[in-house]
Amino acid sequence: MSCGYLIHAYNNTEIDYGQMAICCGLLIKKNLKINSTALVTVRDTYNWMVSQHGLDLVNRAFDHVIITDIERDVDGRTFFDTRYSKKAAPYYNTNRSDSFDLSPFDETILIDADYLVLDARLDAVWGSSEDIMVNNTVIDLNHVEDLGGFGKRIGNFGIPMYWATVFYFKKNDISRSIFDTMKHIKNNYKYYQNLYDFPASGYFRNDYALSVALHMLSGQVECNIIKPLPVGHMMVATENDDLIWFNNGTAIFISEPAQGDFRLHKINTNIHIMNKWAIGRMASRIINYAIS
Amino acid sequence: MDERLQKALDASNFRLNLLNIKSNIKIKVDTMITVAVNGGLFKATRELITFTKLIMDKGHSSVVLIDENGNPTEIVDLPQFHNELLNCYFTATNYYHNEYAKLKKARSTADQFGEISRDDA
Repeated sequence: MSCGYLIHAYNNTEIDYGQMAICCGLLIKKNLKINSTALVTVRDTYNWMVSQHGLDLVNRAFDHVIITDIERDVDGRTFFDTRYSKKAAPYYNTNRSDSFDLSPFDETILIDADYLVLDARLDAVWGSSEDIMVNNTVIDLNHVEDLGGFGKRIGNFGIPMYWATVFYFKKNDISRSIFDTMKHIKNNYKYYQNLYDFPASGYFRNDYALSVALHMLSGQVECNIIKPLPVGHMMVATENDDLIWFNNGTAIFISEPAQGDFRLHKINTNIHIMNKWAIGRMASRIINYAIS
Repeated sequence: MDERLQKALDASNFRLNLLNIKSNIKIKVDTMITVAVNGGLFKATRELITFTKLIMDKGHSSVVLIDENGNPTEIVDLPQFHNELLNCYFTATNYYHNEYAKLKKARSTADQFGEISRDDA
């Protein structure tokens, strides 16, 4: 059975997802025993990665590079860089539903490029009795569970929220059904947005499509058949937080839960960083650590 | 701002940082005690360590245990599993102890976040 990580990366006009994917891939290589990686990207992003970081580093980060096509006519998204800066850019990361077909592995962990692997917990996943595993609980740096609406549910009266940031699946009929259902939801997004009454984010959200798919395929009841990854929650640094230092596998963040209320955080466990620019500012330090 | 109030607020921030660091250490420890075997996920808790020892003392070398996700998991080599649990447990508790000892010495935010002034990367 082949096992590995699948990372999607599509640069837009503002954000270098390719660089984040290199950080992610190299950290997987550094911290995990089973560490095969596959990058799904488009030709222009791949060329940019090679020109900026060199082919050797890209090859070191990824065992497989899968060039695909993406939909270019997509909605824009506002990306925040702390509370004090924001920029709008196209949001191309809409094809997670193709991951089943794209993955070269029998067992896959689909992982976001902005997820830093700083511990070895994902090594415990392989060979699991579960067909899929995905987290439905997140905590922020201040250990708060309700991230301004990104709580455990989609909306106040909605279905359980599952986070597509890290998603384990085996290649079998059950997971194929989930990805096929995600594709169907993506193609009929407005309908499902009304039916499930989830907040209009202005762009297609893989998390919502996954949550609806899992709900539909669980007999449209909450029967707790979807299990979380090892350690039941996902830690998140929000777009308001900044990664201010990265040293020897430890990330130092500054959060500002209320304006002017600054708090420092020392993290050496896996973390999803929503502030993309924060990763960019520390990318060279992360890469240097990962290849050391 | 009144100097005493400023000191109190600084202390409050220090306490909050301390709380967050402790919570993050606990998360790391929780990660370290996770053991995967034969498709099942287990936590190396004192209860599980004692239970596996009890079964071994009864003369069994294999057993079926219910994992963290409620799945029955066959443990073929119980002594090896028991050793792995012990190993994870002590590695995690030693890590916890060391980190806790460092925190106890910290008297300022600068002490708590010494990494910022170091440059090992």
